[in-house]
Amino acid sequence: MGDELLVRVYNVGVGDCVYVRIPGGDDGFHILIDCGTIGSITLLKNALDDLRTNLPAGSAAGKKRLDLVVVTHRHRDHIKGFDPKFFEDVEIKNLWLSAAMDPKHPQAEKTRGLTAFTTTAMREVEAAGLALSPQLEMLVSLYGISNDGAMDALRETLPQQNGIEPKYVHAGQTSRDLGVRPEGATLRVLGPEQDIDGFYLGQDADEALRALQGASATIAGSSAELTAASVPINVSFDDFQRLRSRMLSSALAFAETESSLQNNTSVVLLIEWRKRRLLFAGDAEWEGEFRQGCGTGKSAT
Amino acid sequence: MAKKTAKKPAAEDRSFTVSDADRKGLYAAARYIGSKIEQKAGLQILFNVYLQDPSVAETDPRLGLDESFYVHWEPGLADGPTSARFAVVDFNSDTGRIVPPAEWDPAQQKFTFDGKVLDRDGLDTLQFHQVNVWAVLQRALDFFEGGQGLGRRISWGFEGNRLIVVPHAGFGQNAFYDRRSKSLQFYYFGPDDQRVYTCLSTDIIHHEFGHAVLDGVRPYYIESTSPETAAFHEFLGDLTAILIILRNNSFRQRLADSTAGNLSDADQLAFIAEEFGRTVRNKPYLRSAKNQKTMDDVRGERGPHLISQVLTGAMFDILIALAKFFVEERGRTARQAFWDTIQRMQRTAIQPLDLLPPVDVSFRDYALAVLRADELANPTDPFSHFDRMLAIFRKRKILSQEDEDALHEPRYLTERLRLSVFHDVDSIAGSREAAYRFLDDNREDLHIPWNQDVLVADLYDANKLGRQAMRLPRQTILIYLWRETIPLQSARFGALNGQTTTLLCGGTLVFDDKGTVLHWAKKPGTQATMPPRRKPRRGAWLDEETAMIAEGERRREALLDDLARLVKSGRLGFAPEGERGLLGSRMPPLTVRRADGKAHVELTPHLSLAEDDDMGERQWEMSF
Repeated sequence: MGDELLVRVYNVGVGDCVYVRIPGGDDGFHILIDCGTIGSITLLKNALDDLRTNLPAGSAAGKKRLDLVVVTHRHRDHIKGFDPKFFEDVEIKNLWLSAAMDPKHPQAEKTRGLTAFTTTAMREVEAAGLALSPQLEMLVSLYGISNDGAMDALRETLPQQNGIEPKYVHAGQTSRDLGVRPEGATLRVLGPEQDIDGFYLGQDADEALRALQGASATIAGSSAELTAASVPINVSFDDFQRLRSRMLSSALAFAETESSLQNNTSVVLLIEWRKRRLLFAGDAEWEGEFRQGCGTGKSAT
Repeated sequence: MAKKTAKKPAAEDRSFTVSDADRKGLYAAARYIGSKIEQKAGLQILFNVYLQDPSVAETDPRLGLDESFYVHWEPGLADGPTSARFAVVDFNSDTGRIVPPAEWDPAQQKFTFDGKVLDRDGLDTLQFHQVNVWAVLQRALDFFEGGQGLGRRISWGFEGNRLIVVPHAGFGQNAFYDRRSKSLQFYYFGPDDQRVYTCLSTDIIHHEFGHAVLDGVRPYYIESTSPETAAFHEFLGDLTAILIILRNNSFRQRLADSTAGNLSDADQLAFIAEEFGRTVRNKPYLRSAKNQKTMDDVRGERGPHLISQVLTGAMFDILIALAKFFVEERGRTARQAFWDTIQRMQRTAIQPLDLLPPVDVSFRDYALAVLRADELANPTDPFSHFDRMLAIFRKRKILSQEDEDALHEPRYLTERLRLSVFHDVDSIAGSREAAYRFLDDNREDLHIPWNQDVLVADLYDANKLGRQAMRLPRQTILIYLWRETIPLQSARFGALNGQTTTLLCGGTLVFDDKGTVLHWAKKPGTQATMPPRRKPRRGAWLDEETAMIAEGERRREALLDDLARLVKSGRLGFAPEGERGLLGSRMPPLTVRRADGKAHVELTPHLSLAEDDDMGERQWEMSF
């Protein structure tokens, strides 16, 4: 305790749950960055139990205080633990979410189209119980229906519970802009860029998505589920099944693109404290220099 | 019988009507019937297909639709199209729907849809696309199976006899051959108003079909970790595209007229490149063919396309040299010279595929096979084609000085293979069981280790043609192999450390109809032929045994080095797949499959049309 800055990264399996305490004032400034896992919820419960023991008392009796919750992006391994029940005894003073999580963000319209398409497609895959390799299972699991609950909690229930408005943050903003004043420290948001579509989507993904949405009309009339009439009669059913499993899946490719895009629109937070700098990058995949129209990290060609 | 006074048919009516039964009778005897008569009798059917692709057709109408594209009739033609060797299944993985198939109309002997014949009037229908890709493939198969090619039926690299063709597989800049689903898949890309269908691009079809053919002819190449073997697959794809387009009369004649047959100087060569470049835009084989790369330039490289350029370039050099020879030394017109050239090139490039070893092919193996096939077909070689080709392979450093010296040693065309137990070639050719017995009886002479259960991987006859369509002696080809278990015990094998893999070993024996062994391509292992305590043979046999084991050990070390490099560079991984399909961007160039407690490595279908071998920034990690 005392005069030291504390960073505690909880072991929650595949996922993030990071507690940062900045010393100063009476009892410090307490930040939680993400709370999610792909694995068991028990891991998160244990982490939150430990977290409570570190938090100062809140204004109401029996409550603890969290000065700031930062949610880097919408993937389950970062938000699964934001169940309002877990936070009933915690007062959240500020809630920062990535601008990409804002359902009304004007510069993320196309990205939302991609997310909606991918989510539907991946949930169909999950519902059909298809056999997938571990890599693909992981990808599909990011779009699980249980994520909706956590997203609702972050956008509505938790803010209502605490009488606050969530702030959708983007690059260029600082703690001062966002109405937060940790003593002796500055928080800077380095990502995501405000123009989500322009910076992160890329023309290829946009074109492919439009082609796919159009394909239902131009190629086959309907994208309804496979029916008996959709099975070819000039090869055996077994051969056809094998063929299907060995064709390139645009839905999976979109899921990968979308998943990568969500990662890249993570809140990237820089904490400056006594001439020291701590960077929390969420899952941003900084693969290369940004180029207009190419999506983040993709080469121009 | 017609009376003398019967009215003659109109001059332009060159066809005659045959019943279904008649057609089957004629079909059975088709090998004795000339092409023109086949066309009249409906044994060859005229189709409209794109000579190159729609964008070329638009910019240069002379290279639009092929006006004389005939496909052989066969009894089982059906909706799809479906034929003996191909089944078009127009399933779209994005929409999960089937596009209704083109329908076979026996009365018209045409494919139709909605009651309309699928020809130049219906170019924009998806059913025309189905017929286009099918017809191009039927002809490409003839190119390989005909007498100027391998002179035999070829099988696919999978169980069964029908290759599934998917013309509109989904959205993406992709087209590939996939053995595991027995399919060629063609995707489409681009915005709505500039849609590019890969199933309409003749050279993409040919390139991918080249993979399918090679996988059928030598199915074990797919298991190789050698970059040269992967490159050979790309080479054959490119070469197939080049040779088949040159077989096309209108394209070839136009090229001949434009160049006046003179391809000798650099400008004219550049013109060919330009012609290809104009008609076959942005396609890798253009750059593949026109280059001066040697083996020294690609040493240490892993990208199959890049490495393949050396061999594609060499074969293109041979093509240029042949055209020059026919014009300058034989006084042929440009058109005649190009026709002679392409016919000879087909024999020169395709026929040697039967002489290749069963596993781990190298460019040197192919060059030696090309030269051997040439000297067998043209023993007196009055115009020194052999030396012309040898010089090209030397210049490209595909063959070494020692190879050249050995080929220039005074020698007879064939030598008797020292075999202990005589077997009549007709008996060997007659059944696999007889072939097994031949191998077992002559294990020692063939240096097959005593404790290996050898496999007859393939056995077939081939009836190839030589110049002027003269029949060459029938060939019987026997391919055998075995697997040596190789432990992987070093940290350099990453996650494969502690497992085992296999070194494929074996050989290809080519007999003529008298039983003379014309060619023996071998890939030895490290194990001794004789059991312990058996008195070893001496003399020439022992020299051969020593050399083969040394070569086997070199091969084993090369396999281990290749594997370690693949692990280190992240080119090896597991395919992310499932019932919903493949995730292309995460497919490693080589996949590891575990079976029987061993790690098997397989080449992955080349999942992108872009000529990009450096894998971008993605690496594949193995995790168990």
